[in-house]
Amino acid sequence: MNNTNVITLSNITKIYQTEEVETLALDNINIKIDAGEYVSIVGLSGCGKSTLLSILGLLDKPTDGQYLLNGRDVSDLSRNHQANIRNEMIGFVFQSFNLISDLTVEENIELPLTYRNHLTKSQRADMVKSALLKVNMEHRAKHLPSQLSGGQQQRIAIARAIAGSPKIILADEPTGNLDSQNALAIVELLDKLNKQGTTICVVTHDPRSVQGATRQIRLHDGKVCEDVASLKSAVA
Amino acid sequence: MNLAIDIKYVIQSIKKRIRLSLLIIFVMSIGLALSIFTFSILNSMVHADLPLKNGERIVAINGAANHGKAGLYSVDARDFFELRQEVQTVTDTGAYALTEQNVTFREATQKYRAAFAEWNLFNLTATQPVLGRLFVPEDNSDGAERIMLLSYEVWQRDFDGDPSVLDTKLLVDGRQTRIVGVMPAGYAMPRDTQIWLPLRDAWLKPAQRRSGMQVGGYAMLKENHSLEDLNKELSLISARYREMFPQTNTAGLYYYATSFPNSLWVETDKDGLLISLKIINVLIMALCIINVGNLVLTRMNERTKEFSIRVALGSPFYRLVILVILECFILCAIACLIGIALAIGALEFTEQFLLNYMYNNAAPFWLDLRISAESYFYIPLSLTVTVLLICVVPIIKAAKGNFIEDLKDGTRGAQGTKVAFISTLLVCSQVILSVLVLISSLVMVSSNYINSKVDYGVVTKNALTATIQLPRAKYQTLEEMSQYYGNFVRNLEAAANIRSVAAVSRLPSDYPLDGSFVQPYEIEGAVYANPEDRIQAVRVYAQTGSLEAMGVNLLEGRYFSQSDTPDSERVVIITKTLADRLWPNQNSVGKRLRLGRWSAMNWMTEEHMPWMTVVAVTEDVYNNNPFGFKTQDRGSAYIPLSQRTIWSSHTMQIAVYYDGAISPAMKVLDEVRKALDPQVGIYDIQSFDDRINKNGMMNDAVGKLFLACGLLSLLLASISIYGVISNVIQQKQHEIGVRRALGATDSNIIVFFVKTSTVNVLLSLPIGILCSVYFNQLIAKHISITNASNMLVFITVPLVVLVIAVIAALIPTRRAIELSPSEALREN
Repeated sequence: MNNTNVITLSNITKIYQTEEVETLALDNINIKIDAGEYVSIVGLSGCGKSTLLSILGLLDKPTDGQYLLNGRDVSDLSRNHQANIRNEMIGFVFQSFNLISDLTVEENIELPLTYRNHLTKSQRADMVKSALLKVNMEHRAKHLPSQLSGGQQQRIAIARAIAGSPKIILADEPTGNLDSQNALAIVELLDKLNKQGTTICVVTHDPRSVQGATRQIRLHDGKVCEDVASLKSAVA
Repeated sequence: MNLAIDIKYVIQSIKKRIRLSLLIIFVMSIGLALSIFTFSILNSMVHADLPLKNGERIVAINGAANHGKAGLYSVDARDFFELRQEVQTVTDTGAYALTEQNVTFREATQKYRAAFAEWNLFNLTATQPVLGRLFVPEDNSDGAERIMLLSYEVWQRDFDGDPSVLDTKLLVDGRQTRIVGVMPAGYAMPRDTQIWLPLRDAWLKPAQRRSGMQVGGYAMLKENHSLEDLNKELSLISARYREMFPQTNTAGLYYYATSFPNSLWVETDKDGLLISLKIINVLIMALCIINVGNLVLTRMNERTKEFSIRVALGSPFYRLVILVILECFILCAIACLIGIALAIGALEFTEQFLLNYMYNNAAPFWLDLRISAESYFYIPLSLTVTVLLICVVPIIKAAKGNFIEDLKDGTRGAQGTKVAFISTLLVCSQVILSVLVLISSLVMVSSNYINSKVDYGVVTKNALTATIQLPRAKYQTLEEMSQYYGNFVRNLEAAANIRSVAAVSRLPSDYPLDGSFVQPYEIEGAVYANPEDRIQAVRVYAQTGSLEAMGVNLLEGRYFSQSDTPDSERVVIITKTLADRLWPNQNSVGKRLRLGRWSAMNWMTEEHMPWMTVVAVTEDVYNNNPFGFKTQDRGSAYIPLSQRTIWSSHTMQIAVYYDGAISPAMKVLDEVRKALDPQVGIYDIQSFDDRINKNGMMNDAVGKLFLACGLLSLLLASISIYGVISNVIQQKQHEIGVRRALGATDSNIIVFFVKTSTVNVLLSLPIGILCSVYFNQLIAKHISITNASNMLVFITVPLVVLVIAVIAALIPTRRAIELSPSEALREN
């Protein structure tokens, strides 16, 4: 086993079963992602991108196959154990931001930190402040999400994702709801985070989001049909 | 076409949210059923019009002293004779007196509930006989022939409906009386009458006030006058009589008019019960409205986004209103139908229960438990209006143009601030009301239970009780009556299976029909600035040997003996409670007291109130209903039957202590009666325990009703709290997904939602408790409330409500976390 592999998916299959229909969302996926990689997962709508991201983020379980995270099999961990791994190792950025509307910006960022029992209040406050600084949103700490623009909300979502210094950031269409200017800012932000050593997986079909990626995995009908180093990587 | 589409949408909406729809229908129908039931019970038993022609204008005239605080009476016959000539707001008035009469026929004697009535009673109630004739004015003359009318039911039951019953002569109270007519089926005016006898002029027109003759009055209001008008007149007349006749009309004696059904409640001193029932009814209705309001608000809030989409698509405001009205109409209509059906079933059951057990088939003739027109209309209407008002909130919000906010993805799953505030207020209100209703109900139920377990101070095992009624014509003097009772007791005790017999004017647990058994007592040498300062207690006349027979324990002194004769020193035995109140921390034996003059008995002279020497103090005996509406803590004074002065009743209560089975003892009782005098009636033969249970049945039934109200309110509140919290959590499914994606464990989620869901409940509980304390203080003024269990109730109920809130939050939260985070994130 390569010690630099942070993510290893072996023969991952995901089948959604409803009363009448059985849908094969992922079909025998084998992917290895090294620490510090910036991977974009692309493909047509319904090809399985989001399902793959959910499995990578331990939000869903594969029907079959093995998932090694940091060399450890996480497929059959308990729900609480998986929750702890999500909290400590993974940061999520969603297309629809998923900020909790009742909470202020800083409360939203602090939320994942409150699930870490060993952190004190002042430690959490420092981490929130640091995350806000990274996304240049410290002046909006006391605002509610509804008082922010889409681009600002996404920056807050990224701040929330990085506040706990996760090893991996999983982003699902992070620029999907943004105009080009805001989308560019978010891409730059992710790029910056990657340069700081964070592994980033972005699911997208927006070419702008792919710009910073060092590797591109293309899915088609639940299968990896292409796994190549990106243009940027090639240039580098 | 549009309407058809809207109906289709509404049905789809109801089906889509079927659980919430069923919950709303369930809560609404249960609340409606309970409200309609209690409202109809009150209406039928208290406020109903008599089922007679112009029944709504026929009213009863009664009397009360000390503004109702010291007892309620009939009207002094002389006062009534004069006042009926003065009142202007009525077309006609008349007098009656209710009693029970021994009727001997075909060598059998049985008791009938009789009404001595004035001839115009039947004219005023516009009723004709089915057989024979009615009374005419001459029948009320003092020397007129003794005649009677039979009720239809008695005619059918005891005379086989034989038309030749007319002119048959029966012995009524020992006097030959001719049957002249039979009244129609169901007629029992003025209450539950089985036979009518003419009230004589001597009673109708006595020359003096306070002759001891009292009557009940009836009157027909003029068409353009109300009960209030008549009461104003009666109030003025009463005040003038008090001024003109201060010697007799003292102590705030006044006359008033009320409906016949209501007069029963006032007379039996159950007004406190009535007030409590009314308050509980209003509280339940309020709780039901709040519950439904909250559930509907939740439902409509859930649909805010749908309304916003419709507005965004160009739906006119009226179409949204129609949608909501249609949906409310369907939900309300289903709930109303179920609620009314449940109420009808409950009323039918209750009527049978009342007829069979409570009234022992002697219910007032107006008793007809049915849903009143008001119930049919106002209660469903109030609920529907509430539902509509609440439904309109999200439509107005959507129509105001806020739909863009609602359509934003970033705010999905969240309630609007205003709606969340209203929802919080409603949840808090229902918690407060639930705590209030539940605590009040349980306090009453537990008080009832504790009171029902009271030690009556007498032996009730292997004892049967009965009422002896002597015919007045044969037993006219106190000596004749005393002699009969003495012989009766002796002959009974001579039987092999009879151990002992007690003969008393009143047995423990007997419910007071009025205040006449309770009298003020004066201590020798004491000066009373106010008549109210005198201690009141129950007066019981007892045959010598009765206290020993009943197992009443002496604390000091002696029992009555044969030497206590009319000519010897007057003696009295008092219970410990009375002794402590008359002479605190002193030895009572040897001290003297006498019956105090009472406003209703101003005809009493010094001869009637001789000083009596206390010869013994006994342990407490409850000679009253222990549920004790106003009279619970009064002590008792036993006076030997041989020394009675003011009591001339022809009835006596007996307790027969027997060996072996009860049937032979009953047989002996009847044999002794027949052997001594077959015209004497012995009624209500039953075991002592049955008598006690029967006397407490009304309280027991009301207690159970209160408990049902309390439990139902808890159920309503539980369902509603569950419904609201469950829906909030369902709406926050997406938020749960986000939290889990951010690393929240199951316990993090559960703790968060349980905490946020129960915080409102926690804040509301102290308010509910404070309201309950205040409410119970109010009720305690009317109803005997035992403090012993209160503390337990006040601690337990809030805890139970809190536990329910926690469970209500726990169940949907656990269900919510069953979804995988990715599924939860897809929820909208």
